[in-house]
Amino acid sequence: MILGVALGGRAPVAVAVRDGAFAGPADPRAARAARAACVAVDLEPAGAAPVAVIRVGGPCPPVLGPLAGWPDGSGVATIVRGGHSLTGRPLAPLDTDAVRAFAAGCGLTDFAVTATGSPVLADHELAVAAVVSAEVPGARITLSYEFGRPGLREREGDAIRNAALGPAAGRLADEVAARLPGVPLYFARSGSGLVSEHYFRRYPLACLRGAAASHARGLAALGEAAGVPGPVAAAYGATLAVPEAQVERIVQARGRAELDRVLQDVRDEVLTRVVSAGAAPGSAAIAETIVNPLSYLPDGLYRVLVTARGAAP
Amino acid sequence: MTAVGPRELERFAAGSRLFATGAADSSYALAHDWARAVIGDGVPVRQASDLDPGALCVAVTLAGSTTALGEQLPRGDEPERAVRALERRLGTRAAAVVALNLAAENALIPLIAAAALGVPLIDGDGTGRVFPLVEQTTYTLGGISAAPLALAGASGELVLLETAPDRVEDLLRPVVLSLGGWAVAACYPMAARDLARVVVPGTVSLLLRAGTPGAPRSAAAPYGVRTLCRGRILAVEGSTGHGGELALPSLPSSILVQESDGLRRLIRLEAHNEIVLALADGAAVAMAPDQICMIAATGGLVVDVDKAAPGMEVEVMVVKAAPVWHTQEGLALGGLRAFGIPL
Amino acid sequence: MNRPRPAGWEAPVTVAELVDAGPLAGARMYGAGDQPVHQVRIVDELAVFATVAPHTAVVLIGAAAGGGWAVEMAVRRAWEQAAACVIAPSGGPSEGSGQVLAERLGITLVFVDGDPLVTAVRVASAAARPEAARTQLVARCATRLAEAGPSARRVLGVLNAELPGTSVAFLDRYGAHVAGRRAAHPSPAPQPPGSGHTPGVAPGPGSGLGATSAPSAGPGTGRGARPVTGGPSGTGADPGGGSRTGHTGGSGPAHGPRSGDSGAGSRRSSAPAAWEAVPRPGGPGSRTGRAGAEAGPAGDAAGSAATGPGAGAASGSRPAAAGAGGDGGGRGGDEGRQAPERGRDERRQAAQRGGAVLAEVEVTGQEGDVLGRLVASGSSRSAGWPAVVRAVLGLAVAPLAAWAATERLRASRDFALQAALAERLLRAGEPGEPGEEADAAAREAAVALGWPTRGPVTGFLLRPFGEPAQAGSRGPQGADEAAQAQAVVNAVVGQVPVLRRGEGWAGWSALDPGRLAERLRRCVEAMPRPCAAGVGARVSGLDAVGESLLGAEAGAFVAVAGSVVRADRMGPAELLGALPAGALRAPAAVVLRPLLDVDRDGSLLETLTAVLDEGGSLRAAERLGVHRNTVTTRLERIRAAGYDLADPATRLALHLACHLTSAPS
Repeated sequence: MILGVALGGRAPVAVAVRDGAFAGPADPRAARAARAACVAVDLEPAGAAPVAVIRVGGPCPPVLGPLAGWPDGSGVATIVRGGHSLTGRPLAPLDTDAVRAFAAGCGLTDFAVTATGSPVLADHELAVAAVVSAEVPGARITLSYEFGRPGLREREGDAIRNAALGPAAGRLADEVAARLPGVPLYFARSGSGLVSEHYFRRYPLACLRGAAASHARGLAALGEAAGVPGPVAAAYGATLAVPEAQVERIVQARGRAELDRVLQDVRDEVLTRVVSAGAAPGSAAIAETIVNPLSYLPDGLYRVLVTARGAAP
Repeated sequence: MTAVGPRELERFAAGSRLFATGAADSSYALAHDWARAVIGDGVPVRQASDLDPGALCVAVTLAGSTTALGEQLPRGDEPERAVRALERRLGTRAAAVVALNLAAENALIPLIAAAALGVPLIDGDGTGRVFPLVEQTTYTLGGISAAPLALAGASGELVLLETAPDRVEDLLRPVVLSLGGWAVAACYPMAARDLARVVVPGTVSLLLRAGTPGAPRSAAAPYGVRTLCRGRILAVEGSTGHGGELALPSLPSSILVQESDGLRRLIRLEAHNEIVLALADGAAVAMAPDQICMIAATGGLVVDVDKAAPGMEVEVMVVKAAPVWHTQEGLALGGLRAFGIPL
Repeated sequence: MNRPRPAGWEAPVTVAELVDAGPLAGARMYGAGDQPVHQVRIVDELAVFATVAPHTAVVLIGAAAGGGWAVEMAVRRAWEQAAACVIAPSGGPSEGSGQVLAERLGITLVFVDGDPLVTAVRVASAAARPEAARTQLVARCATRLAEAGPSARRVLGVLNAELPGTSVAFLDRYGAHVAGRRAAHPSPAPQPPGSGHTPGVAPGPGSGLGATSAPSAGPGTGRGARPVTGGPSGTGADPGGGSRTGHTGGSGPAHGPRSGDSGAGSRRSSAPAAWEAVPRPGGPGSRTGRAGAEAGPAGDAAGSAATGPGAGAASGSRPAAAGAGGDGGGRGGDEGRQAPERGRDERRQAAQRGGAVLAEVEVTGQEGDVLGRLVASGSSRSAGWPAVVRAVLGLAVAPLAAWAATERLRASRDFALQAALAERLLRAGEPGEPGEEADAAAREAAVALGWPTRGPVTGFLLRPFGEPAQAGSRGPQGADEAAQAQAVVNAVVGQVPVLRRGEGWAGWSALDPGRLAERLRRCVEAMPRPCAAGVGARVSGLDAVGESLLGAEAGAFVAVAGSVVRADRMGPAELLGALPAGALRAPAAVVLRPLLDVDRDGSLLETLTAVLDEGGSLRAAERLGVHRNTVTTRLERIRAAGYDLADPATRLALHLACHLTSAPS
């Protein structure tokens, strides 16, 4: 029996799915015997934590700066020297002293780090993470390259939102885990797919609109059964997804052979991530690979988006 | 007299996207935010013919990759630095800024330059559409040289190119790459009287109208537009080249669209940074210099070639180019051969 | 090592063995570690994995060990290639998530603090020649054991230090713990190794840690100990916020302000955020009520005491192991049922370490007597490991025998020492007696001396008659004679304690009363001056031996010189026989005087004795062969002599007097 759980309403709603078939409301006494629980939840920005934002790159107009246009209380931000161009050339050496000073003085533990050029080369983000975790023990650090989107400001926004959601997502996962001890938990992603509890804690942003996505999926699967309460459809919809992970990168490759090699690396990472997201190891498979050459840039720069899926164990 | 103030900016920006390719979301949003922060009360828009005929006009454009712009943010002084460099070279102050083309960022960056310099923006542009090369303009067709050309990079670099017109692109490309993939270029310095002769006129005003909520998309196409097909993208391939020897800024690729209704034709779109040729079941149905673009069925935005993905529902549209592109000189500069396809 | 190596000695080393007692000692290991390691590969980029052979220990360096998903990707590639394990430098940001992935994939992940290249070289050497590595370990143990000298504690200290990941306990011949690590040793009833124990399931996160450290709950598994919020609609009301300090989950506050799983259960009944039963689609929308109210408290496989329904308030103090909520807790419960008398800590440790017995070696004294057993337990993560452990345990037998011999020699030379030890053991069971440590030491010494400390025992007492044989031999303490008695008893009865009781010497033995009485008869004969001995009843254990000693005392008291009396066979006859007839005869005569004065032929005395013995005139008449009326007539005459036979005191005095007077002198 798999449990679908919809959170966010007045009370959690749970439905049971037996042998892939919708089996109506879950018997709460049997709930803890479930093989797995799939949770559909829309994360509320209201519970967002203030974030220490570190951007690695050059100076820019204030309107393009980190946290520009964000509501008050979103956190504190700095720009430190460093980063890479899209061709992988270092723009400047990373100013680790500035990173250290900011981390020590910001008074926050949730960090979002975005380096110029990190979809191509994440070295500076990783180096910042190392400095921050040494300076702030227990810091939770989101690195923007994990979200992969080209576009520094958008990627930075993702990293900030993910970092801000971290504490609330952790509490949420704690709470569901406490209610369903011993039951493996999955959370519905915003688009399609599920992620493991562990993955959810690390990348809550992936599940920002998990309930909305599950609701649509559930309604589609239940057909025109009128009168299905929204949370029921969402809870059922959550059980219909499978572990999924995505990696987006900009890669540089001269020639087919090199492209195949770098694609293999990206596939390796997405397969690893989908297993981390809860896929049974043997079932993880690449679902989709999108490779587009980047316009107006030298030959051999590609935007790569790889999706992997697997069966829940 | 027209001006682009805060309210007009939104319409101008919206209009600039209607047929714009190469407009990655990030760089467009960035240029939009940037423009909003600098235009103040408004940037006056003038006809070239209204200026003192001898006044210096300078074309301003983004050179390079919008992806790079979205990644490596501007310092903010690039447009001004590029124009000032050209002014120093020429010993004359620029009296107006004109766009090279009016697609997304390329409409907004001249506006930012004009605001920074405190000069008007000319109501018109150099293509009536977008071409990948700096020299593919009506200015070139009118005998104006892109050089001397000044480039300002995001790390504070400044480069002045002075060369024969047909060498500009060759020199420009590696320089832009070494600047990180993008730069602001100030080029085609010319007198207002020359500009009035070679510009595709009125296109800024056109976009301000086309960007008004409720206006039809076709309002942005001064010379007409047609729908080639509606369909679903089947495949995106890195094509193996087309036999030509032209060194273009990026790998060509090929997009296969299955027509959803009607004849259910298979449409192959050949792209060199942008789509230059459409083949329906093997027969050429549209080609440069007309502009071929894919509009996403959901959202209505132009789908960039490098964002095309199998499964997307798109409408393939053909925007007719200005008549000057269909002259012999125009076809040579902006036709298929210019993209290395020997048809 | 001259003896032939046992089977498994040359089996490939496993990852766990490398971590437990090899070049990876001190590293943090996630996963079972049961894979054999055949070779080592240094990997600096993932592409190298394509050529990694099965059973390879992969050492990550450079970019392959760099942050992000590098370590996780290596773990997955290792899984694809059936590698033995992945060894990565510690401190990377991905340690937490690597751990989760390693467990999911069943690939062991080891984080080392030192230079990975140095580690690689050492692991390669151990993998290439497993028997050499094991021989080296055994040789090192031999050296350390020799240095430890004849001390049970130090010997066990060496064993536990040199065999990490394995608990070695020294149990006495009753199965009770004497020294070493109090961990998963078999329950008191001795069992063959392995039987009745859960096989060595790797206890999961934290298994590579020392025995005393709390189990580190991994991400997700530590959830039980985290603050629990009141429900999705009540998150704001939770005062905890404690989870903000957690990183990937492993470091969450262990004792946060939580009300525990069961607390959540009890709270659920009142909170609005209950699991809500929902109507079937299309149904009339009737609610079946709040399901959560019926849901019991969170399951606690460990059977922790604090988790009854509604026991939320108490559950905050639950040990972290129980909070792990997974297999670890469940095993703890199993162990607990096997040995209910064992403490909670011991259970927990057993659960933590996996309770399989790896090797067991009998320890015999130099006289061939069984001192006890060395029991090594832990997870058998390598085919070779039990053989190594057995070899090392074998090395410890000789020092333990030497320890016993030394203790015995000391005791035999010092009556007072062993007597004090015996007194200590007698008092140890009493509640309120201070000095637990001294008790433990006494028990340890008792094992060395071979004394019985558990199970049925029988007390005895040896009582001398008259004056000591030699002048001055008693001394102020009678030390010489006491030592003599100890020597005689030890020689004849065996390794038992001898302590002073009044004039005599007492002790206890595991022999049954009959056999003990036989042995004591030989002691009585061997003692230089006349002695008698008493043997108490057999009692269940040392705590009841005081009772047995009282009987022995009584027996010795009634026994005549040269005899042995068993308290369990002692009746009125023995008691009466023990009366000092000579001393009492005169007073008896005084008491009987009025009767004897009128009793010409002795018939009155004979009749009185018969009546008192038989308890009535009818039976007395039968015994005497006279008519009942004759007895009645004679009793009348006795009463006439002034005796009130209805008075119990008079009857007792008369009965005693009769007995003494009629008994042969």
